[in-house]
Parts: sequence; structure tokens; C-alpha cells
Amino acid sequence: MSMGVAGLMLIGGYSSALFVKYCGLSFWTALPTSGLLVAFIAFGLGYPFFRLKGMYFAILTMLMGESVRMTSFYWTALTGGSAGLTGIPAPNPITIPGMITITFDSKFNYYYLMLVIVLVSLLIFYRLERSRLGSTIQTIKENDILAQSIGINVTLSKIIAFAVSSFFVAIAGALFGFYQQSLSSDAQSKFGIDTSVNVLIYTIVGGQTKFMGPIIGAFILTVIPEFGRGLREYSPILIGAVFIIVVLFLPKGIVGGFEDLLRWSSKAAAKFKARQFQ
Amino acid sequence: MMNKVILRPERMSVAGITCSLVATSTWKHQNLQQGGYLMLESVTSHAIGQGLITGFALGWIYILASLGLALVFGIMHIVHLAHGQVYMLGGYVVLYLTTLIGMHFFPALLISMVVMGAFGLFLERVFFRPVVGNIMSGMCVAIGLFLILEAVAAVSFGVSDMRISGLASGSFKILDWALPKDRSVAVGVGMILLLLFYILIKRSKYGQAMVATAQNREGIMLQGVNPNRMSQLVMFIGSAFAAAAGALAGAIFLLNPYIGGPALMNAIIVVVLAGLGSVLGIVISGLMVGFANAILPIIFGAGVGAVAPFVLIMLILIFKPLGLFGHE
Repeated sequence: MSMGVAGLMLIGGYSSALFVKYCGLSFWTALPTSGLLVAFIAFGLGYPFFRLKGMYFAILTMLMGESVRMTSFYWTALTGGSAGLTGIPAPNPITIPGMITITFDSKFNYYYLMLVIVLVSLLIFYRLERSRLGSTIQTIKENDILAQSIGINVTLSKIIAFAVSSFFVAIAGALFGFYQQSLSSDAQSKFGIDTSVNVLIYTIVGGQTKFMGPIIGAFILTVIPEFGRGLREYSPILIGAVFIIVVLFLPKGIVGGFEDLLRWSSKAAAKFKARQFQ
Repeated sequence: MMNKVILRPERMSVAGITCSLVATSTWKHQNLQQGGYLMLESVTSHAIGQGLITGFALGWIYILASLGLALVFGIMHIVHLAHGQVYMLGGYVVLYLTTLIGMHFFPALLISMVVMGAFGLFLERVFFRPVVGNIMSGMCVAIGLFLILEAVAAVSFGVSDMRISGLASGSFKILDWALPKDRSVAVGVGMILLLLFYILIKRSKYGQAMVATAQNREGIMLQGVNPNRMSQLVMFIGSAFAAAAGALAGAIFLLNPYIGGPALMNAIIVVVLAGLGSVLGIVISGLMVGFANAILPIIFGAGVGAVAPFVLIMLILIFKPLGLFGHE
């Protein structure tokens, strides 16, 4: 349970923006480069971090996220400090020779770019979950001592999983930066602790153990507040209430709860049928 | 001659201040940067003294705020992440009692402590009792409460900065030092509350039962103590102390619906630094964190001052997770 997602997202966002602005890289190379950078950082942080478990890990990652944010907030020379980093160019257009040129200056086109990248990432995650790494992680989640006893290197697997997920976290931060075309790292920005907390909430509300869980959770909890746009300041109340209800009454999240409901109803239907035959 | 003074910042006493004043007035046009440097240095020597006093008061506020966090974790095994919001609401109760009814600060503080203590009982019964012992669920419920309480406060109290008046104004003159009265009174309040808490722990049956519950929640049932009663006791005391801390912070610094988050961060830092199971450890590390927060920004600038405590605590968590004074 990591609460430092925003810190890694921040490194991804700022590094890709700086690569494009000062190193002259194009958007298409900066995006994976910043992802790899953050994955390496996560790999390095992984060993000391995974000495801790549970609550201590959560507190440690929360402190990490906040200290990254404050470092960037006060490192004015590199990041623009409280004024923020502005003038991030839009992604370079794609030209398919002989056909069309797609530009990403408008938010509309950019939306489809993000959609494609998100779908590709989801596909990669789907494959990963069914790979050897995925089943290793599943084993560790169920019983880490048992996993160790059958020869799984628990810490290394955890670190690799952390690095891989950090890659995608960095991509998310970079996409956010190019969407906004400016970045800021004060406490109320997208890189504040709220984002880390929200990501955690989406995951748990949707259901931690299921592939669809975080997707459903993020979808529900970001779309519902959009219907009451005038009541924006009330939306944390709704999100918090949903979160508490799910934690108290649906420990497997919405997806897990839904599956349980389906299983229960099919069982009940079978019972009903059996009774009718008698 | 001026350059010599610049090169020896350790001589920044009264002579240094006068030198810098002369420097800024005469050299203003030729060398603005140098004048600015001198002014900064002379302010620093004075500001460190003020920073020490502020840090002492801040330390006592952190001690009060983090006691509740440590107690709730020790007895109920819940990381009470909404503790900062209780602190903030306690400040607002005092603010409204003093401005709307025109009450004096200290009766308002007492009422606020009782009100927030009762609020703590409510939180314990409704939200925390179902998840006692399950650390992760407890943390999640507390995060939900964090969001709800902060948004409720922002909606109902507005987001502008407020200040509670009526703690004390002016300053004591001790030798050359001006000792601000509000900060000294805050330290006094903190000390009195801590003393009362210490007497409760050491001298009363309830306190002994509380310590025993922290050691073994199942074993205490055999002795005829209801552990839920103990949970109620720590939630009451913890929330009341948080309310007192919030009111003092609101009177000395400022009050807005978002002060809960940073206060929680600092309380977590204090508890991690101290480790669990030691009141004295919390006092010492609270004062350390208070001084660090007040002095580091003055000496090294705001950036280092903000980041250094976090990095230090991360290192302590990694290499000495039990804290400086903690035991199993």
C-alpha cells in the first residue's frame, strides 16, 4: 500500500517536460525516457523501502512523496519553484507519409492520444498479470513466507513490481504535464498528497485483487463528481463516504462484491431449481 | 573595512548590526547585493533567538497533537490519520466560542477539549470499533474521515485564514530578550496538560489499565477490563489534547481548514522519531521537531528546512523502525 504515487508522478512529469524543453528530445522519446528514469529510481528506492511492511511502508512512501514534492517546490533553478514550470510544448505531430499529419495542439486530439496510451498500458498490465511475475506477486500477496520457502526472492520480486508500476506512474505524470502544458508542485497541485490518497482510494474501492478493480474504481469516483460540478467542494465528502462504506462492508471492493453477488445469485438460482424438481 | 566584516559572519553581534546599517545606508547605490547580504546576516542573529522561542512553543503543540496519535495507535492499533482534522476542528470551536459568544480563551479551550473529546468518542464508536486490530482497514477508514472532515470544515467555515485572539499579547522582558507572552502561555498550557496526563497514567487505575491494554489487549480482558472502554478513554484524551493543540496553534499561528494535514505530518514525524511506548520520548522528540521546524528554515532557507526533517525521518524509519526511544 503505497501513498507516495504523487512523488513518482511528479518526477515523471517534470523530467519529461525538462527533457523536451532543455535537452531537445521529442515527446515520443522523452515519454519512455522519463518512465525508465523513474523506474530506475524506484528500483534504487525499493531495497531500503521493502525492508518495511504494511503501515510503516505506507508512512514511508507518504513521506517520500511529500519530500519529493517539497524538493521540487523549493528547487527554483530547475523547476521554477512556486511559479511553476510553464511553456511545455505540445507533443510533436505524427506524420504518416503519403497520408495525414496528426497534430496534438488541441485538447481533443490529445485526449485520443492519452486514450491510446492508456489502452496500450492496460494491455501490457493484462499480459503482465498473467506472466510469471504476475503469478509470483500473487503468491507473495497470499503468503510471503510460503513464497520464500519455495524459492521465490520476495524482496526482488516486490522491487521489480514496484519499478514496473513506477514506469507507468511516471508516464501518467508526463501525460498530465503535456496536457496542462505547465506544472506546479505546491501542496494544492496534482502532485500533492491528495493524488496519492485518491489513487489508493480508487484501487481499494474498485477492488485490489481484481484486474478490473482499479479501472472501475477510478471511473466511478472521477465520473460521479463531474455530475455535480457546482458542488465541487462537496465531492471529497462523497468520496470519503464511499471509501469508508466500501472498507467497512465490501472488503473485496466493488468488483469483488459484484462477483460475490453473481456467485450467490447463481447458487440461489440453482437451489431454487433443485427445489422445483423435487 | 566593510569587507572584513562580511568575511566574518560569526562577529554578527550588536556591532555587526550597526555596521550593516551603515553599510546599507552608504553603499546602497554602489553595491546593493553586498548590503543585502549584510542585512540578512544581522537579521539572522536576532531571528534565531525568536526562532528558538517559537520552536519551543511549536514543540509543545506537537507534543499535545502527537500524544493522541501515539495513544490511539498503542491501544487500538489504528493509524488515526484524521487526527489532524480533530486538531483543526478544536481550533475552530475555540474561534467560534470566543468571537460569537465573546468567551475568554481559557474557558473556551476547556469547552473545546470536552466537545472534541466527545467527538472522539463518536468516531471511536461508529468508525473505529469495527476495524480495531486491523491496521490497514483502520488506516483506510481514517483516510476517509480525513477527506470528509476537511471538506466539511472548508464548506462550513470557509477557506480564509483566521486567528484566534485572546490568548495573551505583548511580551515579557528578560534581560535583553523579548519573550512573547502568547508562546510562553502555550508552553505552560502544554506542560500542565502533559503533567495531568502523566499523573493519570502513573497514579490512577484507569491509567494502569491503559498501559496494560497497550501491552496485551486480550490479556486485559482476563483482568476484567473492557478494552473498548479503554479505546473510548484514549480517543477522548487524544482528541481533547489535539483540540487544545489546535486552539493554541490557531492563537499563535493561523487557522484554516487545511492546517490538519501538515499538523498530522509533524505528529507522525514525532511519533516515528520517538517510537511507541514512551511519553518522555514523545516530549523529547516533539521538542526536537519543533526546534527543527522553527530554526532550520532560518539558518538554511525554506527548502532545506522543509525537506530535511522528512528525509531524516525516512532514514530513521528504514534503519531504526522502533524509533529513538521505542520498545516492543
